[in-house]
Amino acid sequence: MHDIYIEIFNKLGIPTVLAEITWPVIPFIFVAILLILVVIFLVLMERKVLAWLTVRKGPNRVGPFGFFQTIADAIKLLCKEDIMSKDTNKILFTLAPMIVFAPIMIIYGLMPFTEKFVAINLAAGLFLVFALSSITTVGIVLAGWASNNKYSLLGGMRSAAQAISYEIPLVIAVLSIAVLAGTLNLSDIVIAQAGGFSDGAFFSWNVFSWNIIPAFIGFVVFFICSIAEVNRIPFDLPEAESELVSGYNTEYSGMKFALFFLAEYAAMFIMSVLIVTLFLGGYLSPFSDYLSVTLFQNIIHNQNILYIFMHIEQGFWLIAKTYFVIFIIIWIRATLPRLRADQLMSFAWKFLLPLSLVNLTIVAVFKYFSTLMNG
Amino acid sequence: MALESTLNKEMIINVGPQHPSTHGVLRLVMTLEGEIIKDTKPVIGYLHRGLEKLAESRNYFQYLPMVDRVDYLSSFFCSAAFCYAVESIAGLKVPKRAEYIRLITMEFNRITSHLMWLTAFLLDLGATTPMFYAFREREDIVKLFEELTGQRMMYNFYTFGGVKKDLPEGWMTKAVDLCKSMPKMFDEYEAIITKNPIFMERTKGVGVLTQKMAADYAITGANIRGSGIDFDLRKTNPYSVYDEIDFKTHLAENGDSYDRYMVRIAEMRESVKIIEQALKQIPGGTPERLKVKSVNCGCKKEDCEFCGFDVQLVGKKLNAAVFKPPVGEVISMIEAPRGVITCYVVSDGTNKPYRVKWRTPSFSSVQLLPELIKGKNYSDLMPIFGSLDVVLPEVDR
Amino acid sequence: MKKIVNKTVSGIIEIARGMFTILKHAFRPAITLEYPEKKPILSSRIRGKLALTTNQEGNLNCVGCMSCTKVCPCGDLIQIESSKDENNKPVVNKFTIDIGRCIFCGNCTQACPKDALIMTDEYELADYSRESLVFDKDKLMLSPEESANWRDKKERDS
Repeated sequence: MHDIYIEIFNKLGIPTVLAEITWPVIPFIFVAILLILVVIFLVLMERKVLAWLTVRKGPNRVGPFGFFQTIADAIKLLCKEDIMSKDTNKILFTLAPMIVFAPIMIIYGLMPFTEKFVAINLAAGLFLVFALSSITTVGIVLAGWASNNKYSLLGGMRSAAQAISYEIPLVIAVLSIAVLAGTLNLSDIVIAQAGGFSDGAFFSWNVFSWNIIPAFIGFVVFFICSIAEVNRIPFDLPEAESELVSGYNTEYSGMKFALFFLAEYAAMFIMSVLIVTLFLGGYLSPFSDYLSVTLFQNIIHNQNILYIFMHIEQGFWLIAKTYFVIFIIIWIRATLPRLRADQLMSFAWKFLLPLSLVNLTIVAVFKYFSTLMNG
Repeated sequence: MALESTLNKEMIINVGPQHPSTHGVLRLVMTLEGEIIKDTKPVIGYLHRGLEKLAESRNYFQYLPMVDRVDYLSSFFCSAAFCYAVESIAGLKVPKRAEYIRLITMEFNRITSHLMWLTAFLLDLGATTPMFYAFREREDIVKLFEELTGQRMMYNFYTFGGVKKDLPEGWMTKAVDLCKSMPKMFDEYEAIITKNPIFMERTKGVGVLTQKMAADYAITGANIRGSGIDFDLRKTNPYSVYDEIDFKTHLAENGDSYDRYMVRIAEMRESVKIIEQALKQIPGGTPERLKVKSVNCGCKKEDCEFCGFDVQLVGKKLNAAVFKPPVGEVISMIEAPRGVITCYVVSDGTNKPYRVKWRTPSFSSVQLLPELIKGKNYSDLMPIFGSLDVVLPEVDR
Repeated sequence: MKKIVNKTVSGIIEIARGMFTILKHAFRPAITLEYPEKKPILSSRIRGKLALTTNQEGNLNCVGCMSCTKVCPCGDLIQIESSKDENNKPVVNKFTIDIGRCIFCGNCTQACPKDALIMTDEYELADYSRESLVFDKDKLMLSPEESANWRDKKERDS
């Protein structure tokens, strides 16, 4: 790919240096497009699912089934006046949405969407994901502080407290994955989940070697913590619209608000992808082999085409699993009321943290015996 | 020194007048230390419409539609309070059928009001979905009201000495059907909410209203029953035809937000039972039957089963221009969804009331708020304030 | 320890129960009424825009007795000017209602001795200016057919 790209530049008569400089940017352009598409779909999905669960119809005016509602909303937000109240700290106020948004965009680059579709394949990818996702909290605190609004400040402080308490069980739950896979590379973690339970016809399905089986408690802890991480009900204290009048983003409008909004939904998607990658076998199909390969291998003998088919299927599995996880998150949102700040803390420290340690022990024992058995 | 002063800094936060969970336009000036509430000052009066003063420049019939606006969520109750007051000054007798229609509409109104409270309360706690379900049921009842009175909220249906119109045809069947389906809906809300661990964490032991405090602040209605004081005007001082109906009052023990929730849910179920009984016992039966029977009977006797006084709608037709109740003053009390509504009317013998005074239950509940949330977390404001069921137009009048 | 486990298990069961109750609703038909396209079915007692009925010849039923103004809670909302013609019959020259201030209480229609003032089921009354909401006699007047229609409806109802 790299060579082709440079060749195109050479043929057009543009210096190779320019090609070399622009080459790393290309994945990010793809990521940005992907991100916006995902968010547009996600917002619509959330509204539709919520409407569906609350016996309503949801958006259905703009385009068929309201497909273009989100786009219309986005255009509206872009056209809106950018209001900044008098005594805000202008630099930080402007910087905060970017700080929230940028790390999430980088995390997208780290995600293995298929076997080859990984923008940045790092050896310590998992580590970087959590390092980056913590930065968004800084942005939220900054937004809360710079807004010069007491509600926003409270929202920002709550967000900080929440992030500190929930990141610890989150990371310990992830530690068990590192133990199981023996690596921090996200692609390798996915590959380690292939193979199944044994060689038999049914037990060789990939489902049986997904991390969720040994680390089920870890999955639950991770799921709860990731909901808290992306500030959704029942852990949406930083925004809590009935208490803090939408908290840290009270004072934001127009494009800056849109960035927060985008970041929130993008974070929700990325957390779901992460759950799928770590616990539900990522892009792997739940069966022993890829369906497209089994179906078409007798018809199509061109390995390249089969390879492309396989990639498409991998993408399909990842997206399907991710949207299933997102559906559950939305479903939870429709059911549960909000926790109180101190209850949230005690839930994290007194319940989730011990649970994640229990999970780590179980996984370690499991790993020890499975290596013993496999020699 | 500098650090100390920074640490001890209290923050004054202005909740409202426009805030999602103040149920209207209440302003709370709160002193917070961190997220702990140190002090609260409720500021009321943003919704003051001068309903008491307006009465003095309008005759009784002109004032009647305005009474509905005292509390827009339980219009029938305010209307009833005023009508009972004027009736007892003027010595008007109300026919039994009219009383039964009043009772049925009031109990339906109690359910709509409690459903509205439920949605607001849960919305404050962050649960959005039950709101849509509760509004769906509320819509069914409101449809019935629309069919009966012609309006969905401001009914203006009661008049001095009775009600303005008879039940429309087919109304009673619809009401019976609704009464049958409603307990199932309440079961559904309870499945979603009542035992939900987060809901229990948020409301149990929060905002405990002791019996003494409740009595001191003159709290009435479901709030005081949640604290275990058996005070229900429908039982202790039956107005209308409540003495002919068999029902229970529901009490709870602890007086926390959860108990107030439980009492209100139980009250809704009890209201359904009251309506079912009333629909069976109503003199004259269905309007279709009554019409046929009264035409056939035509005896015009006072105690006739089909055309006597008891099946009339209005005891005595009054002319708005010449209706002048005798000199006197009277208090009437009604057990409204939020507590006891008291209407005090002074008549000086002219066609305009000399003075009308409203004593509304939410006014007392708002006064209680600072005491209940002192020293609590800011997030506790919502379960406590929500469970008190305050409606601001009622506070300000 | 036992308490925590019990609490956790019951909590999970209750949350699951709530979630499935909500999922059950997903399979019920939506209650949304898509308003501008579909209008709600109104009962015959609905209190909408006020209107003046006419008799077969197209003359107003109103005799200018001022009963409606005496019960109107909004003071000078209804303004009537009437005079007597050569046969000593009352003629209403001016009949104005400020719909913008009307609270649709229905007192006036009940006070009307001739059923001349009625409430129709028209409720979409929003307009761009307050002045255009002051309805005069021509705007309030119904055609004889409509009046007959409404009279029928009223009779069926009572």
